[in-house]
Amino acid sequence: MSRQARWLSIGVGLLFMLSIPLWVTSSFYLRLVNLSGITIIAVVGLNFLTGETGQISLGHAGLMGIGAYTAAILETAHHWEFWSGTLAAGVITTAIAIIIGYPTLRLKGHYLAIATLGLGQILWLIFSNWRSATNGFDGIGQIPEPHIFGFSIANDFAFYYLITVFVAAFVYLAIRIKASSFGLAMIAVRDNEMAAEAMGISATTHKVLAFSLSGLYAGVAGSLYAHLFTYISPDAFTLDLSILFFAMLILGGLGSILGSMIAAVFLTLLPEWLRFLDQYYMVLYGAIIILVIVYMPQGIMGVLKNWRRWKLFRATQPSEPLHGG
Amino acid sequence: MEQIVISGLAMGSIYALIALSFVLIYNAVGVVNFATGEIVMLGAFLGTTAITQLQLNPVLAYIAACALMVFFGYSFNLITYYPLRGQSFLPIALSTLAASIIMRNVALIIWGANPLSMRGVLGSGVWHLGTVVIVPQNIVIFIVTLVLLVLQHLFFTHTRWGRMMRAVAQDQDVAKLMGIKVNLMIGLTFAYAGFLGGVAGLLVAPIFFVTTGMGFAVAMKAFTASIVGGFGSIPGAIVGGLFIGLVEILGAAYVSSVYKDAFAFIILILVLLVRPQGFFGEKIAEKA
Repeated sequence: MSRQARWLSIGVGLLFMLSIPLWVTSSFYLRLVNLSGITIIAVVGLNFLTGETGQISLGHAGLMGIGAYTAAILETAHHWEFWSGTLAAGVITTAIAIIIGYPTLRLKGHYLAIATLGLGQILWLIFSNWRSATNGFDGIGQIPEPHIFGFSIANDFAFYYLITVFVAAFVYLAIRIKASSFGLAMIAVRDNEMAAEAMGISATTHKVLAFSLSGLYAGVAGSLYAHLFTYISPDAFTLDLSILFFAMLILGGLGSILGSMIAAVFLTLLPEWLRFLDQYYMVLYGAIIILVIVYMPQGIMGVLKNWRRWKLFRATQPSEPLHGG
Repeated sequence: MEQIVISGLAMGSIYALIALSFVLIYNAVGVVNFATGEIVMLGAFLGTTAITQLQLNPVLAYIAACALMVFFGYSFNLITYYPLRGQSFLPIALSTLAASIIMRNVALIIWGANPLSMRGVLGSGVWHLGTVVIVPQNIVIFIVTLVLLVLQHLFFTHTRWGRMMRAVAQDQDVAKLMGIKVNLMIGLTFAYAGFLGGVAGLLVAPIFFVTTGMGFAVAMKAFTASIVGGFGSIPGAIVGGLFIGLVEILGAAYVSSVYKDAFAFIILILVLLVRPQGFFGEKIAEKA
């Protein structure tokens, strides 16, 4: 793509994004769009750990829950503001991710999967049973609406723009981090840990940092989630959500930020499109995941890449013979 | 106290069987089967249907349920592992997770959301042995587990098929060079793992409520047990299972029953920090 074409497509994309609330008039669908935005933040965060550093986390819903509960408790019981509550959610989730990450990230693959699965479960137990703080299964309601520069973000229309700003900022940050030397070091750890260590890259440090970054994203996503729904309960942060995040990463194509964003939106909307299937939906959802892994091992981005290569191939085919490579 | 220890060890035997189910698969193909809990659940539901709903002869019912689980284990391999063999850990982990979602929801559609209960082979009363009260199902659990472990040991060490399966677990390439049908052996390992999970489900059904969520709870403890015992180690899975069973029930009795499910994980974290290779295991921080 030429420089102008790239800027043009970014501009068109931006306009499209900004116009969404104007033509998605159903508040129900706008709520789903907002939820997709929050999911994008969480999944792009998880991508640091799973996509770029190659480590698995099946406890990510728990981290998002920490963010949601932190913001909810501070703002309902202690009357904090949206910004300070969200900041605290991000900071506390990051801190807990570091504390959790240090012992568990020394493990690999399966062990890490099982350890994070257990941690997600412990966090769920704490949300459900620490009644004095989390109100147990009754959950926390009446989470105050954000006030920003005198505007109160009280409906999904206003929320859309708030979430868009957050998504843009966090995705931009993710792109910059991925392109930085730190991002390259994480990818090196994923591709060959021993070689990375030989180059002077500490694998454990990079894994813990990737995990804490994904914790920051999960914490902020959790806080936004709490404000969007104004009510949270332990059942919002179960293993199923962790699996969903993981499925979004794989479906998008491991390591691709754009792919995980597309998959996050797709898998958030899919249950609504297939609502008529009722309880059969979850069966189909599981089957779709297996089919995708088997037939699209590189995910959505892999398909797009192949398609582009194929178009390029067709365009060059008649006029000149293809040279090797 | 005695009752507590007995039920802890009985639950521990169940964990040991489930831990074995996925240690065997892990050894054979290097993959953790995250649907192990749902295999246990399926065994329990099949047993409940056969015995409580269809009123079959118990012997016939148990045999039918076990046979179905063997068949299921083999099919499970064909759907979730075989098409992905040779891929890395992440996609295969997701594939077994997706299988667990499918199984849980199919069970929900077939058996509904209400908990079912199953009668044990020795009835549902209790026995009094002096001052000690014994739940007969616990004795059944001990006996079945013990017999199964002895048979399994004999099978793996003294039969041709058992040795072929172990050879595949040790080195697939060399096994193939020796003329062993590697994919068939892997399929059989999955079938046997399905059988083990099914037996665990049949054994645990009379002392638990049979629900679609039961598998996850027991499988998490069994995962923990196998890490505590030393991942990949068969004696480790057994000792770890008994250990977790005891810790859990003692913790529930003397510390807090609400956080009963958390004790296993606290032990897990402690073990990972202090002795990550477990009681008997390999050094897990270094194994890919």
